[in-house]
Amino acid sequence: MNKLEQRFPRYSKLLSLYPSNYRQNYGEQMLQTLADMLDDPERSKTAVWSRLTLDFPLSLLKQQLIYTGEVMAMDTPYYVKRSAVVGSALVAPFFIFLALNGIMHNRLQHSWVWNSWFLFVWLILLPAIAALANIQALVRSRQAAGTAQNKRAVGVTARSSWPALTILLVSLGILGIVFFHDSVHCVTGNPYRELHNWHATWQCIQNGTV
Amino acid sequence: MSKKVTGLLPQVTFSILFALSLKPRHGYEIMQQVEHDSVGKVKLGPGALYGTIKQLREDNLIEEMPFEGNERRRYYRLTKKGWDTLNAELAYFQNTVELAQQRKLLGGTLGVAQ
Repeated sequence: MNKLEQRFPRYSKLLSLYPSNYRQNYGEQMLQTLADMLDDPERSKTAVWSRLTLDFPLSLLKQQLIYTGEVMAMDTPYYVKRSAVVGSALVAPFFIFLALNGIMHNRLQHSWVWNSWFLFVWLILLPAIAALANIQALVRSRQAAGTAQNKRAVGVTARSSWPALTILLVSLGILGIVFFHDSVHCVTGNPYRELHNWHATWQCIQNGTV
Repeated sequence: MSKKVTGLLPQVTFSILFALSLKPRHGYEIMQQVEHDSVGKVKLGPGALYGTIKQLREDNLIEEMPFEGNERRRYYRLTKKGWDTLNAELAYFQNTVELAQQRKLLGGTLGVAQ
């Protein structure tokens, strides 16, 4: 531990939350800049720490988003990208029909979406295929991680599998909506109106109807 | 990864390039100069400062100088592309100020002159 890390132990630990490449290039310089700010007699220490309170989470979020974007663009295995695209295409109709229903009908149970063919194809079959495709991608991603030589490589591989994980969760969410639709229609019919009148919505959830 | 920089620069990006136009500086000097040039309106923390420096280096607008002495104080300077970008930005501002003068918008008369 060097002098600056000893002087700012908490900030040093927080810096470890940045992506490793960024931390290696700029971590020491950030510590030095913080030391310079605090050593400057013209600056109030309170003002420096308050500025840091806002600066740290915002820049951390930004760098993590940039890093995730770079990983997605460059390090995501081809089969994960393919599964994510296929999964998105399969689950998209659900949201399109849900949005159309919101425009054309007040409540989901009155909609033409509640036709047995729609229920089967768009709400069950396609999300299930999307989920299966992404489970396969996830398993392959984890297998690749298992053969990696070090923990960092495992972390990157696990991180790169998040598009597949997201699609999988969305698919499961759709199945959940179908399963619990007696309550879900209370808020999916017209979300703004239903949430605005939260008391009636709560009664609807309890009774299954308004 | 270098990409083409087009259009008006974000405030912080412009401020850092402007601060480096006088001489190469390290992080804290950049921060001080930016605050001075913007009359305290642009205030940077270490995260925002080095996040922007990282972006500017990737865009090849600034470069790190070979370090001497304290390795935590890395000095940065403008590249040729950085100078070109800064000059283009300043030319745009100059044109805007000239237009504002022609329209008598400067000097506290905004909203009065018709």
